[in-house]
Amino acid sequence: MTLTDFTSDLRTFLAAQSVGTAGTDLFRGMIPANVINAVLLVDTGGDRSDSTHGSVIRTVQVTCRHVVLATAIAKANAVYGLLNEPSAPRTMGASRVTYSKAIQPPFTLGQDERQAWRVVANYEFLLAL
Amino acid sequence: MRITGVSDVQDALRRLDEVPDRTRARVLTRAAQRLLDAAVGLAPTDQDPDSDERPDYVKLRESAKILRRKNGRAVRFATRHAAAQHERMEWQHEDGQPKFLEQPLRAMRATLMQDLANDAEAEVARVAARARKRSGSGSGRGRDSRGRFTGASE
Repeated sequence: MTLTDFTSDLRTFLAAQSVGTAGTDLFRGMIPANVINAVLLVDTGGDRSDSTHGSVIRTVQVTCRHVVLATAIAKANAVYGLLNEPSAPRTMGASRVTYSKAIQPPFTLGQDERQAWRVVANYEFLLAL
Repeated sequence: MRITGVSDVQDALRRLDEVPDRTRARVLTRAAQRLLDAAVGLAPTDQDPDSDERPDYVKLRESAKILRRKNGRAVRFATRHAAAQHERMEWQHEDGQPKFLEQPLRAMRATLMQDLANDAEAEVARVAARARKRSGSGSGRGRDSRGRFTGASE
């Protein structure tokens, strides 16, 4: 099996779709302390691979954080529209995404320690090995 | 019964559907209980719960419950800080972790259909054995509350 840096590929894809700019307001792993409004991608593992069918399931948490709730929700909905059950397989960088689906619709976690609203959704991606 | 592919999964679902409602309910409740036990074990312990003076405050682990649904069972942590504890991946915990429900659910999912099918078959066999025992193993005889044989004898 060839492991890809999937969240990097996902970040590149979302940046190309104008969700944000990598390193400015679109991050992987954590949001820098000097940034408040941002989209954060966190790899949350996934499921066992299926070597018979040459695929692996990866899961990613997408957090849309903004001081204005309506903006956070709008961003989360935009990401949801891009990632939930697209009509066809697609390539994101080195990753071949056969299918992607939201585990749940975006939901609000409330305000965090910096009074920014966090709207979260988790996604499942079926990647071809 | 061993499940290996899509058609096997569909067959298992059909067979589960044929199992009596009460048996199916017991099987689903047991599966939900296994998930709940695993999730409670992974859920973070509340830090300094005595400082929260809200009258409706419930500790995270104590809030876990199994809910009946029309098509099965649901496991839920019914406290207002459950979602944040589950989703805030950057929080550090002395005991426990985020994704305390999602992770064991994913781990169970791989063998869930197999486990349900095995459990259902075992449950049906148990119920049948109990019924045979009550009817005196088909001899027309049973036992009363003191264990004495009743009914026709040969």
